[in-house]
Amino acid sequence: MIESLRESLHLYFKFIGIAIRSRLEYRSDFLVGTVGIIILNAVNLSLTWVMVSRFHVLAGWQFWEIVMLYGMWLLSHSIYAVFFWHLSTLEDDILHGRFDQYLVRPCSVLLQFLGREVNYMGVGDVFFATAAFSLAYRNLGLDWAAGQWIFFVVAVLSGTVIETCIAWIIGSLSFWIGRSRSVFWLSMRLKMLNQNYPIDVFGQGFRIFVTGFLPIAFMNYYPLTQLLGKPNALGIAALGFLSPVVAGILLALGSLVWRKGLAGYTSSGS
Amino acid sequence: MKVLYAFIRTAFHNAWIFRLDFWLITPGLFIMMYANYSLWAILYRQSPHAFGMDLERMTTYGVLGILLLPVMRSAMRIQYYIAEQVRLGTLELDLMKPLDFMFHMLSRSVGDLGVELLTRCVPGLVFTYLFLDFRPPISAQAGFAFLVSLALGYLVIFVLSFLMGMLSIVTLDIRSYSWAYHSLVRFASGQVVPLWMFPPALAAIAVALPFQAVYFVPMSIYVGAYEGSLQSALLSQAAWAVGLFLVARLCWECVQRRITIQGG
Repeated sequence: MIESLRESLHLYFKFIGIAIRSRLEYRSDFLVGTVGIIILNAVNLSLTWVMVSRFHVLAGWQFWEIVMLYGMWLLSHSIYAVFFWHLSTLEDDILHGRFDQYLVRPCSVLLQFLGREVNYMGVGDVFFATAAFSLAYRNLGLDWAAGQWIFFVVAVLSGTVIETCIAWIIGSLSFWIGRSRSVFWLSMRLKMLNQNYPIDVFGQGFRIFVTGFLPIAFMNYYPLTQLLGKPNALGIAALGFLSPVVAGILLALGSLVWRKGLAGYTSSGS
Repeated sequence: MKVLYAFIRTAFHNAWIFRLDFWLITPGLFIMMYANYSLWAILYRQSPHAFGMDLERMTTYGVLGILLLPVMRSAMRIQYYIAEQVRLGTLELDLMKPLDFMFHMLSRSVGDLGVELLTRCVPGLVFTYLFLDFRPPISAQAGFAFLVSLALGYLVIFVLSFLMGMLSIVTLDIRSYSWAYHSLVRFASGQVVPLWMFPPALAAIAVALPFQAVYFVPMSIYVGAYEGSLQSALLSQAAWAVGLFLVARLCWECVQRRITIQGG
């Protein structure tokens, strides 16, 4: 078990190494892509700034607290974006019959698929997220103890797992429904709401939805209410600690859906 | 007209193949409408004087922004279509068709529009009307102006997205620009936050950009919040549509000459 895991990791990093080298062939692309991502985030955040400059506080959240919410979300997202973003293109491989090539090699299908690509654009997210987070940390005059930093790191990594697993599950849906692109589009729009605003500004129904059905509030909102000592929108304090648990559940769910999809896979034949 | 009809039929055909989409996306849009509705309702309760209009008109504006999303998205998808054709090297098949390329792209997006209207907007309208206090346009005249304005806004976003598609012929990958483009549209078009809430300096910039012609003008006409006459609103949109169309035409003529088809 341990042995095979080690071998898998070794292979994965080998794949990633190849992917990085092939990406480095397109240097100007990297630069333009990173600038594009930074613009995207700046524009997104200005939208929040417009709202706050109008209303001063949004449902009890000040500007820098919201920036921190954004930064924390983006930190989780950036790891996902670099290593797992191409889960959203799984449908193309399936629809165009390219998926078959993974099946004929004597190696885990998932490993091959995940190792196929790195998305350099996520690097722009890392820069922006770090900047936003540090600015917010200073402006809020925070001084976290070591325990809180550990909590923060665990929460960010759980956030990555949550977002990755959601993408994994949606991507696997294309084993059955063919196209999952619009589901991705929708989840992205919903994630955006969660990234830009504390969920206190939305109605109860929405809060429950992003807690229990599409648990994206665990990526930033719940752990951050814990760290900032704010009450959360559902008034259940324990939710602040649940991010790793949610990540674990999604991981199990994801692998279940993936296995089922893979077992029933029939090539599109093209 | 026959061409348009053919594209609409094809679009419905495609939608039928991926019909599970309907059951996933349409309820998802309901959730977004509800989120936007409650956002404005909660902020309104927090500071009722910051709006200058009654609550129902504000929430109607917010919900309308989501309701129009599928409409405008059908035109925005054209950039991905063009980028994909470029990537696969199948653009030549489109160039060989006995149809003007721009007209072909427009027909394609109008075909998609038909599907979006029927499968998203109609159910969405029923949902918002029943559950979210969705108001009709403030007057019959405003309603009519809204429809004209919406059509003009559609042309503007189509031409802008066509230009993004042209970019893919030049640079081969548009993913990162297109994300930046999407967020710019979201921000500067007033789709989420109306321009009258922007700080004055930002509002001045947004007014000077074409994006406000896409969402903000029709939406503010609908809720009766457009400052200035309806005629001038529609004229400015038409000016953007025509101006951008000429730019796109020019770009297309230039780009057409430098297309390289990657071997099949």
